[in-house]
This record gives sequence, C-alpha cells and structure tokens, in this order.
Amino acid sequence: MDTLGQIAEIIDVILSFTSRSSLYNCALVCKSYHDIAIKYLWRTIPSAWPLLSFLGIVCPEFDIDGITWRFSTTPSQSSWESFDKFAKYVEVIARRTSSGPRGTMDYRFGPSDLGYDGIEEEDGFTDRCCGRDCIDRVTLNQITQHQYSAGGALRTPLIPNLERLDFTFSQFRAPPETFVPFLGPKLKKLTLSYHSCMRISDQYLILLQRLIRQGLQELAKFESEIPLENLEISVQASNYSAMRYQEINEAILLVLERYTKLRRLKAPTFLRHDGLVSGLRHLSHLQSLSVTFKNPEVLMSFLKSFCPEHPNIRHLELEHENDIATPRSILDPLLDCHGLISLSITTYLAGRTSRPSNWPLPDVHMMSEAWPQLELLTLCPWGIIPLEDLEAFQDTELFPHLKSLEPHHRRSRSSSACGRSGRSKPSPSPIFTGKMTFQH
Amino acid sequence: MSAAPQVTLESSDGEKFKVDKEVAERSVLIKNMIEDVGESDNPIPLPNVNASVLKKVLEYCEHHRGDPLPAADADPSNDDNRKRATEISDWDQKFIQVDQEMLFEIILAANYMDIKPLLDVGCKTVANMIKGKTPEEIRKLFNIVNDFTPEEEAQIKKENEWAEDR
Repeated sequence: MDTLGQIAEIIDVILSFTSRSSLYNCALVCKSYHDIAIKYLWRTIPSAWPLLSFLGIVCPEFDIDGITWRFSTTPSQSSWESFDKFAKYVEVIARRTSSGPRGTMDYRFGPSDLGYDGIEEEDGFTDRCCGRDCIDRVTLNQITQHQYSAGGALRTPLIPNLERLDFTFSQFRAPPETFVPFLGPKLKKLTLSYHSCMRISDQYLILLQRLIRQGLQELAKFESEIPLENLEISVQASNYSAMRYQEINEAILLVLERYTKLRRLKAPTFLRHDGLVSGLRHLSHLQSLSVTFKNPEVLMSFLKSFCPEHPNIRHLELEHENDIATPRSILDPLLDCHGLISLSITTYLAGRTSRPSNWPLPDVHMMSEAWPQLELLTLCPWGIIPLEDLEAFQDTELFPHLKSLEPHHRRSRSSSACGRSGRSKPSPSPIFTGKMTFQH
Repeated sequence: MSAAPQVTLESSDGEKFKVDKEVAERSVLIKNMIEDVGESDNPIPLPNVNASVLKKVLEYCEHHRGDPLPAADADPSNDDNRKRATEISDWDQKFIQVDQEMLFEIILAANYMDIKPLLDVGCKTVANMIKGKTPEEIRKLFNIVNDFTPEEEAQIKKENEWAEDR
C-alpha cells in the first residue's frame, strides 16, 4: 500500500484545506505536489498583479495628467504562455474574503515598502502584498479587449474562470475601463470600490465622478454575456457626500437594465427614489439590497414603492445621510417584507449635535409576525429606542432566529458597536448603545 | 419491533465486526458492495484496513450514523461548501486526536472506504500540521524525495513569489 504522502488524490484534499503560505511551501516539495499546490494557490489571489507581472515590467510615465503605469514592452508569446498557465486557476481576485473599506493606500507604486505586516484573513491567508499589488494604479491600455491577440488568435477572456473580482480604484487617474479586461464568462461577483483616505479637492472629485460614471457605462455596454449576480459599488472619500450623484445614478440604472439576474446590489447614494425603483423592478432574482439616500424622505418614498414590489427581499441595508431624525413610520412599509433575514436602517453624520428624539418600535408582535426569519436587526435612526422595546427581542418565541440586535446611534461611518455575548438583558442605561448577540 | 439489519465487516487481519447496516453504509464502498451482491451473511472483506483502524473508523460512522450524506455532485470549489467544510465539530476534533501513524491510517482507510466527511476531517488535521513547515520538513513528514533541479526550484519561487510568507 502506498504511504499517504504518495497518493495524489489525498494530497489534493489536504492541500484544498491549506493556507496560502503553506501552499507556497508545498509547491516546492516535489513535482507532483507542485502541480496540485499551484491549483489551490492561484485559486484566490489578492489582486491581478501576480498574473500581470508575467507580462512584463511596468514603468511609470509622467505627463500633464500625472503618472500612469505602462508595460515597458509588448508582452511576448512566452509571457502570455506563463500568464495563461496560471490564469486558468484563478477564480477569485480579492484582497479579503470579506469586503470592507480600505482607503488607506498611498499613491506610490512599486515593491511594498509600507511596513505592512500582513493581515490574517478569515480563511487563514496572510496578505503581504499591499504596495505592489494595486493594479488600479496601472494603466492597462495595452491589454484592452481588442489587443488580446497572440499568434493571431483572439485572447479573450483574459482570466477564463474568474468568478469574483474586487477592484479598487485608489488612483483617480486610472482609466475607468481598467477592470473591463477581467470581465469574463463566469464572473458572478464584481465589486468596484473608489476610495480615498483623504479629503479630496473639487478637481479630483470631478475626476472621481467621471471615473465611476464611465466605468459603469463600460460595464453596461460590455458585449459578452456575464452571469453577474452580485454587484457592489462602493465610494469612500472623506468629503464624498459633496459628490454630484446624478450622473452616477443614471449609469447605475444602465447597468441594472443590462444585468437583470442580479441577486445582490450595493449602490452608493441615490438622489431620487423613482429611478431606482423602476430599475430594480426588472430584477426578479433580487435578494439583497444596500443603498444610501440623501435624506429620510427619499428613503421613505423608496420603501413605499419598493416593498410591495419585492415582498420576498431577504437582506436590506438602508442608510440616509441627512441631519434629520429618521421618521418612525419608516418601518411600516417594511412590515410587508416577510422574507427579511437582515435589516439595517442607519443614518450617519459626523459631529451631529442635536439630541435624539424618542423612537418607539412598532408593536413587537407585529414585527415578529412580519419578520419570522429575522436574524440581524440594526437600527440606528438617531432616536432613542425604549428599553422595553429592546427587551422584547429577547423572547425566543417571538424572534427564534435573531442572532444580533444593534440599536445604537452611529455618529460617523467609522464608529463601531461593542459586542455583548449571551441573551442577557441590555444595559440599564437609558440609551442602549451596544450590540446584543444571541446564541441559540 | 424488528432489529436493525446488520452486516459483518472483516479487517485485513481477520477480525470481524458486526455493525448496523446503516452505520456500515456511511462508507460508499460498502454501500455499493451491498447493493451489488445483495443481502448476505458472508463478511465483507476490507483487505486494506486493519482491525485497530477499522474499529476507529466504525466509531466515527456510529457517531455520524444519522447525518445527511454528502451529495455526490457537491461542488467543493463553491465558497459556501468550502466554508462549511472547514468547520470541525468538537466531537470530531477529539476523535481525530490520535498519533500521526493512526491519523494517516484513518485517512487512508477513509479514502479506500470512500467516507468523505472522515477523509475531510483527517485531511484538515494534516493541513494544520503542515502549517509553518518548510518544504524540507514537509518532505520528511510525507517521506517524499525532492525531484526538482535548483533551476526549477528557483523558477517556482519566482512564479509564486507573491504568496511567500516572508
């Protein structure tokens, strides 16, 4: 009988559970281990950069618009062969297994010199490639769709098995279509993030607006079929609320027309509710929606139209960014959405000085009947939720699946709730600002 | 009430184990054999599994007798499937706390008998053992000979440099 380490099918299973750095070491054990290890090693990569580096050296070019990054030479046939050897394994390009704002990048490009020690990710992967892995800083003009030719054959798609792409623009001068070469026939999840850690000038704000709008237009007009189910568009900048969203909203609606099989949509701020309601009307598979509105009135109008059309929506994350308390009646239309598993209604405004007003919840039995599957409830409406309302959520007969209740007031996007364990009574303080987690 | 149907399994060293058919059928190999040859009083031979390992494997099967069987067409590359698969129950963790020789034998038996959940538990444990080990230490663990030339090794390091834990 062979020893365990010599049976390829067992080694395959072992390596499927192995972390990134261990896979790297396994690839160096012997030839047979190498062939198995690289299959898993390259399944998830932190950015496209490990692949793109096969195509040549990227050099900076200085011009009137600033710095762009280009490949120093046209990639050769052998470069493409190396690229293809690994590209076929790639299914996910994402820095983290869970999404979250970054916005901490600088604008330099080159080997990592940021003193980044790596973050242990959910899956045990350690990401140490911060500085050099930002393809969003690289102008990919040289590998646009029509230029994927090698030996006369059209080279498309670029990464044939890619299912998930997290793409972060942190350089506003990056071409808006930079992510387009990575769109492929298996792409199910696309996250486009536009982040800046600093307050940006009006000039750059306009550039950022254009970048987002044009990027979404490119996505809307992409010719090939993509089985896109999950689209997240995330905008983070310290003064992003000053952004003029009208054009971005219109571009999102074009995307919604094109990708009608979406199950999840995360959209940045919408100015008007009616356009979004009609855009979402065609999405019969929609299960999860995350969206911000400028003020609670628009949010309310949206819910009045949206809820009757999507009574089976499962996850709703709603936010408004106005210095007005959320009306209590905002919950009323949601009582028609009986499939809700998670519901979040929040408002934020840094430096708010007004005192929160009283914010009693609807009858607890009514909520229990309306949301029998509810697992997560976050209510940060800038109002005081009476303690007796919160205590009712501890009744396991009323809310048998509830795992987390977060009724605090959010002062800014960076604030976070403190966790509590067990199904114990909330703090006796008049305003409960923590998070209760329940174990069943 | 009639007793649950039973089958007899015979280990490589001739020991016989009489177990409930439901327990034995956690093994796809045994399930297929019973389906192929029909009900029989003859013991089912397992020439690749000795008595001490078979006893341990049957302990696992007995504990998990009521679990839903994994779908034959389950896609292991699916994120949800993989995430579920990385969770090991407390009982399984205690069960698999054995010496390295027994661990490897259990994995080989699970592979031979086609008991996927047990194979996964064993392989996850080995994956944890690999963590932090150098290529040379992994070779020693699995008794593997390095068949790379220095040039090939350098090439692999270069291609996968981004993943190196430095």
